[in-house]
Amino acid sequence: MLRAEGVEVVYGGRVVGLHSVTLELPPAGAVALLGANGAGKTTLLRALSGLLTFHDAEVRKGQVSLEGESLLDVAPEQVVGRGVVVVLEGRRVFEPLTVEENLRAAMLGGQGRAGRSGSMDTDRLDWVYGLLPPLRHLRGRRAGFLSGGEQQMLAIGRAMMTRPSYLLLDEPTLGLAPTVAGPLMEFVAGLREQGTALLVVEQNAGTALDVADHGYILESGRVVMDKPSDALRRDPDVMEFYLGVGEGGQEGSLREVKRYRRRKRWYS
Amino acid sequence: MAALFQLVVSGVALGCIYALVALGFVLIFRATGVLNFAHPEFLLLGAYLILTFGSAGLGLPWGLALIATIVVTALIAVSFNAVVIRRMMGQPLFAIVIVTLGFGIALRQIISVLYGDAPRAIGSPWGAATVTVGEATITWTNLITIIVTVLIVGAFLAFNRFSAYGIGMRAAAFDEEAAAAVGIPNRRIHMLAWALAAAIAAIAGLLLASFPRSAVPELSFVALRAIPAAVLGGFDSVAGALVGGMLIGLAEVSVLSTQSGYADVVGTNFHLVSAYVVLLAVLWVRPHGLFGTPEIERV
Ligand SMILES: Nc1ncnc2c1ncn2[C@@H]1O[C@H](COP(=O)(O)OP(=O)(O)OP(=O)(O)O)[C@@H](O)[C@H]1O
Ligand SMILES: [Mg+2]
Repeated sequence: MLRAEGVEVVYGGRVVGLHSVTLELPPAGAVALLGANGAGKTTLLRALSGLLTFHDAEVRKGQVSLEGESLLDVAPEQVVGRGVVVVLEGRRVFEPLTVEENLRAAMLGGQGRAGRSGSMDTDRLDWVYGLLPPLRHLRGRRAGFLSGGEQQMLAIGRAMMTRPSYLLLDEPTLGLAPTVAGPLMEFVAGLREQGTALLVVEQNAGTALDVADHGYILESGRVVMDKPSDALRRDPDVMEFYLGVGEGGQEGSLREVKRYRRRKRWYS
Repeated sequence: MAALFQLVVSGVALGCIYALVALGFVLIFRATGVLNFAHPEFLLLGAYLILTFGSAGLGLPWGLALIATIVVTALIAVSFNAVVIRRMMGQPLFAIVIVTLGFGIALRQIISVLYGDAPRAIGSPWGAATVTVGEATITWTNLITIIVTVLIVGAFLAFNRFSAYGIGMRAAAFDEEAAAAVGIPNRRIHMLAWALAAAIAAIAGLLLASFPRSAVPELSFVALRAIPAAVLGGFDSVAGALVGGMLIGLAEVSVLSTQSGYADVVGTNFHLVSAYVVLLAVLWVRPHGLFGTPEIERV
């Protein structure tokens, strides 16, 4: 179980990115994390993966834990070593390196490294090429020259090189055409069969809820809703704001909608 | 013809030393984002520690003294990184540069107090021997400098391209957060970069202090002239550092050998600034250096 409990994150000692957020990702589970721009989705992934230090931020209250052990004060590469890996927003492939070098770079870390020999490393590479066969054909290509979909595939393959138990994906379909995004999310869903738990961050609920059993909705750094995926899919407010149903593309707040509906009910 | 050949060989040999210095400088910059202006003093450590470990001091056999010199220089660099630089990460590059400059000055002072300012022969096993090629006479120092540089550069390029840590280092140089996110141990990468760069500098220092030169604190100023080589190559490019070093070495030696004819125009120390002349000319045409990428300062 990967768990955030009452987590408050502060950027630069002043700006609060998250207020008392609690989220649970069970082993081999799949959870969707939804929210508009600036809601704090990326911040929560940073808190779970130890990457807050890169942003002059820290967990000021609460606890982040993996299988009951605290992950606060654990260096990012050691978090990866314990089986939690994040695919960053915007893909972030190592552009000057080839596809295969991108994958091999991720061999320095990851689960069960101690005593692993060179041949095990080749196994790992083969395993990832087996999961994502197109990468094998692109192996000699410079990562910076790949298309967006290929780069996202590489970013996921690179994360899988670490043999994660918990894979956290930050807006994996951002900027991809639906024809590319669809198969990619199907592939991601398939990773659960490898025993990998998934935390999928999306702004648009559709794709993420299809993969997940459970969903959390973040708004201004707070969890405002936390329900099984089916329940979220049936919720008209969620539909309106995160599935783009019945919208004019307007920005809104779930809490305000609720108040508004409630008031409407009182008056009727 | 023989004179020209000798000239080219000594130019190439000097260029090799500059290239080794520039390589270490670029290595640290690419891996950690730090411009290490104490790098010239790492060469001094190489030149002087051999006095302590070798026949002039503890009397270790040459090979062992060499290894001890390289290891201790690397340890000093790694400790400087661990104790000072790591704590300053995130501060403006300017502040870090000043600290490295200060560390360099301190090292030079300590060396000059411990060993004195008089030139000291470091006792390389090949001594003052020369080889004759046709009519040209070439010092073993120059020949060994060229051979050792080719070996070091070859080994480094292989490391950089094929080893897990070499690949990890390039990955982290491109995007440190993305590297950490897939488990690349950034701290260890930084440590390795400092250690490798300092080890290479120690060897360059030994070569620089070999016959006909000797160990003097001013050698660090010679090494400082290799920094234009790094700028010339583009600061963040390994190939650029090597080519830049070679260009500046050749320019310096050819100016040195010809300037007496124009002494009334350029004076007698023009070779000392020739590096900067080449640098200005190159930057005029290519502002990011020969191989560099625009906008190298990291945030
Ligand atoms: N590096 C940073 N420094 C300061 N504040 C930050 C930083 N990163 C994020 N924030 C702030 O934290 C809050 C949450 O941002 P976050 O990036 O986590 O949102 P998000 O849900 O991932 O948004 P998006 O969908 O746009 O990626 C925002 O108010 C943002 O301004
Ligand atoms: Mg985000």
